[in-house]
Amino acid sequence: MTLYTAFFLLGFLPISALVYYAVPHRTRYIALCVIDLAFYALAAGKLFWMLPLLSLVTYALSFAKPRVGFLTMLLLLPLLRLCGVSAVGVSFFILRAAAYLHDGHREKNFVRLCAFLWLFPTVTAGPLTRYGQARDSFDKPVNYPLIERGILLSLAGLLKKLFFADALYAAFVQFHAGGTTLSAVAALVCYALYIYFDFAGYSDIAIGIAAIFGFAPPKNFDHPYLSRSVGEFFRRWHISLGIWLRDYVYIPLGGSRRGKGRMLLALGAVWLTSALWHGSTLSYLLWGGWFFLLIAAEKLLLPKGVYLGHVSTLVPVLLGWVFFFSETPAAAFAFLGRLFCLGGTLLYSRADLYNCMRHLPFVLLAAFCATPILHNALCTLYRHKKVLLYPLAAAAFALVLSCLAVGAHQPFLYASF
Amino acid sequence: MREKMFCRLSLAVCLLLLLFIVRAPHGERLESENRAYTAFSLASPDRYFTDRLPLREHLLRLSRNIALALGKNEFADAFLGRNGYIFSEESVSTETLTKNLDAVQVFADALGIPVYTAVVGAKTDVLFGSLPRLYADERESLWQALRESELQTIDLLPTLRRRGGEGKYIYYRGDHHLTTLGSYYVYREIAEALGITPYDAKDFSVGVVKADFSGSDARKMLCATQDKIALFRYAEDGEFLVENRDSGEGMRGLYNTEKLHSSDPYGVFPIADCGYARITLPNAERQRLLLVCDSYGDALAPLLARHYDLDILDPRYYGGSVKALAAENDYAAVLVYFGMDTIAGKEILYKLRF
Repeated sequence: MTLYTAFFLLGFLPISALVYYAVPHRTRYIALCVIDLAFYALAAGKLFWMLPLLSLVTYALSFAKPRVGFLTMLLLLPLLRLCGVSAVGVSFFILRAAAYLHDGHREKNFVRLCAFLWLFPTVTAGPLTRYGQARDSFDKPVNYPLIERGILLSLAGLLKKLFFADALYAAFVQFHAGGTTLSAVAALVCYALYIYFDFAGYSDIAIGIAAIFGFAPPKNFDHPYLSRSVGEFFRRWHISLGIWLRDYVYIPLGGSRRGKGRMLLALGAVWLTSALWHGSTLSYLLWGGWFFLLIAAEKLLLPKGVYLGHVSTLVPVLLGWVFFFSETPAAAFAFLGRLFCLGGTLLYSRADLYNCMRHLPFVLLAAFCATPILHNALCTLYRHKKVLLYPLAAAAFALVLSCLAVGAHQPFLYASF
Repeated sequence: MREKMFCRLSLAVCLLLLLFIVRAPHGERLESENRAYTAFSLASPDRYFTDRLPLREHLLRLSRNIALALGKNEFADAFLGRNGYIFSEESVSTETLTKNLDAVQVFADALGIPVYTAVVGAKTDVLFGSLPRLYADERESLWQALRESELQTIDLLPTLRRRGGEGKYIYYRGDHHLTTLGSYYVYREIAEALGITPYDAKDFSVGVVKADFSGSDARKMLCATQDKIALFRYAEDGEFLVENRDSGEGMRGLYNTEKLHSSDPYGVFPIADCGYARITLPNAERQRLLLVCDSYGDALAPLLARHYDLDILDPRYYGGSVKALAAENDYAAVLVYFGMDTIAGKEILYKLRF
């Protein structure tokens, strides 16, 4: 079960919310724990026992020294992968638990700790929340403005995932199968938009549903494709992971305050960790290496306050996705060859023109929606003319239902990490 | 206050939808999609929910209209062409085609009788004039692979392309099958290859029996194409005995006209969706032909039945040994007859090896 399926949205979610708010607010964390476990059991199937087991380990490690607990928890990730145990959400769980241990929290109430670690909207794919942020959300009375924001954000996320991401992926697959430069360019653009709408959409759904249950995880995306440098791009892309890597890898290794050599070492460790967290294939290492080189070059060569600009950032970022979606380095370099019209690659074919004609209006609409223009307009409406937002929400809900009725959705990409 | 109202209303709407999905009465089948409602299963519960959504048809139409308004020209793997045609794109590969053809070769080598292979092109292979502007057919490699095989093939493509180019109504606008006219042209080609003299069109009494047929492509696109089902009838076609050897049921006559008013009018051809069927003309000594086919064979069989007693196998549903069946029976020849989308899309003919 995932957050964007009909069973979840029309069955699991309303019943869970009803049960959760029917319980006195001081004991809601117990109800939440049960809901979390039920969700995870439906999502992970036979491997659902992983979550209670890892939570027990976290609870035990919280009595050890923070650094020992942190490193032990992190070591579990490669260990589990080596053992071939890959339950959904385990990598996110381990990062969340490691942060909990590093920050030195010692929650004595095991059920409350589980309610945080297992928080069902975020358990499978983030965003990565910290205990310090979530702790204050327990035992609070009903917060209707927060729930309302959560519902609206979930709807926006569902549209991003179901309406945009799935169609963009289908377009990517079509273009990727082509053998020309035009199809490679179109595939790259479609993939860049797909991965944004897929992940940002899922994050919005997760944050929105967490808000329905009284939690307020931090935002995970901030219109990254409008960044003016590669460093800025990753401060606006998968923000919670970026902050995690900054706080628990980059800064402990010296960050940028102990000389250029130490800074490069810390940066290299950040990108190595990020690449290995995504997967232990050579393609992900190349992806991490590419962005390490770009950000290192930015840090070393660009004076403070000077930026590359939107286009100069976008081009290397898009090229980086080639390593991300290619299964092998050979496939990635073959794609780059196509992209730059090398080795006798044709510039375009009739099929490309047909596919471009079919997908162009949708891709342009998606590109527009990836900018903050629409988002800002809706935020303004929310602040000043909220009444107008309700019919829009109803229309969005109808559109979500229509997407659900069509069925056959592309699985959320980051659920596999 | 307003927030509280909004939250409670949202919860109420979701719960009402849930109640509707679980409790509202509905028929046994989704008539518009010609399939049964999905049963609930905890392993994959979504289809149960989406099948029972209130106003489901309208929701699907909303999705389709948005897709068309955005210029995508496609919905649910179907796309709009010109002249009212709706096309569908199936996932096909030369590799799958080759595997199926190899299986036919093994089958043919093991039998001592002629085995002919005929493949019907999809609408995209034939009706170039009705395809959308700039649409590029990239399936020529499939036809090349078929031509290069060592099988005794009957090349139907030139005839179909010529007839299609002449504007003949050889494919339904909203279905992937050949019309009976298309099947008649195919029958002529096959008859010549089999060494029999095909009947002229004037030897049949052609009549439209349904004028508002909407097939699988139309259903995918959620629209009605008003296709016409015509039957090529002849005097003695009511005397044939058609046996469904899977169920043991039998009927007189080559056509089941009662089906014309059901949700699947294509069932007028009584061997549709049957693994093993037999068509015989009682009290007549005739040669026997084994027809191994998919649903394209449904419209062809009544025409071939004028010459042969037929055993018709659809390997998608037939579970027995085809080789054993061929050995047990005294067939004059075997005709392997499939649509390109089937034979290059699904590895189904491995059953011919056993």
